Amino acid sequence: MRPDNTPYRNPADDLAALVDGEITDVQRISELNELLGRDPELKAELDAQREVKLLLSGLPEAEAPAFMQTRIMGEISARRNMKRGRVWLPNWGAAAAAVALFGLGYGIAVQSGSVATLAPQFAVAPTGGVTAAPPIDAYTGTTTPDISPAFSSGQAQSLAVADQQYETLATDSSSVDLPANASPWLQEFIKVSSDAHNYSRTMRLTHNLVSPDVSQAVMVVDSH
Amino acid sequence: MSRPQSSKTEAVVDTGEELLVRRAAAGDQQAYSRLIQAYQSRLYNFVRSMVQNDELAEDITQESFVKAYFNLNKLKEPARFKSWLFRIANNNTLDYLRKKKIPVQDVDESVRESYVDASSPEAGAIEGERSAHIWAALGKLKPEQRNILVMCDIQGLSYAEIAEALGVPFGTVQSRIFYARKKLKEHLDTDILFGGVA
Repeated sequence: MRPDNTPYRNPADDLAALVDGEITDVQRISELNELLGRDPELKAELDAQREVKLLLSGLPEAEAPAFMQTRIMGEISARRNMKRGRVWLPNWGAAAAAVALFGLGYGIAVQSGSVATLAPQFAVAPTGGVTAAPPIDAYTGTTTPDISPAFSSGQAQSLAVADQQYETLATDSSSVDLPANASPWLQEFIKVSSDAHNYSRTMRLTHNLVSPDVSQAVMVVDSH
Repeated sequence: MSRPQSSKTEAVVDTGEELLVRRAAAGDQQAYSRLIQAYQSRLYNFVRSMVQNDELAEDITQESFVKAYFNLNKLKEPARFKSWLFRIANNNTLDYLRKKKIPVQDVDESVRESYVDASSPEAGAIEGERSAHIWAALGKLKPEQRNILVMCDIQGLSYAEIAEALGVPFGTVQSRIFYARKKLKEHLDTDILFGGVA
């Protein structure tokens, strides 16, 4: 029997194993030797197996390329760092972006005088989708019109409504008075922040996103 | 030429290999670095024999070691690291060969040149030609036949290790080696090779 307990088949099947010294069963080796003595064809097969093995084992081997070990360890380190980054960056990145954008947007809204007070339901408001009751606009304290049915009629219409809403907000916010002596980078910064705020507000109005989660709004914009 | 079994480096590594594998699995990069050192030549030569291209062999070998590192926790028996590593390299290589459909007779020139012995140009040229011929014949085999011959006759793996590396029974290894050698012999030019050897 072989190491994996399968029975022996025809003698030719065992020739490779005989050449490679993989048959440990003494009785089987003796049987094969007897057969080889009687059968020239089988003997020729055995010799051919030996010759091929000899040729292959005589092939020169190459050295591993220089610094391969260093490169492999470098690649491992890089991928480990990447994996760590995947875990932490989105969380930190999303949180930082949400806080920064909301803060900036809110600041500009205060400047433009459009913010009343943060409504109490702000903190527990649903974060997206269709709500049972019309949500309260956290900025103005008024009821946001529920236009979600318009979205179900098609994405193009949805985008058109969102675009229209965004244009309105952008026009309104363009009236924000920028400090006259502000440096160009600050003016640019305020403009970018204002855009982010308008996107966020558009999503809040057109998708019933009452939560001030700017990153979520950005994701919704992105998905469209 | 030194065969892997007689390598002094490997003998030293073998004694503590299981420990190194356990330490590497626990995140010890230095331990894994030592494992790479012990196996990089063998794995590189195995892949190189399969793809017959130096640069590709380097890439696939590197990827195999990296993949092995990130999957070390899946290796249940550290003592079987060698066959497991060859299994990863073999799968990577076969995947590559399947995707790229490399022409079997396209032997990389740098590989061919590596067989020419510069110290004795004439003898080196003959030896180099012979080796290149064997190499080309090996390249004509199906990858599934080539890998088993390279593992057995060039890398010196035992049938049990090959069976583990390929995930097939011992008897299948035995049979595949027999038929792969037979096929290789058919591809070889007996006039040059066997006449020269005798």
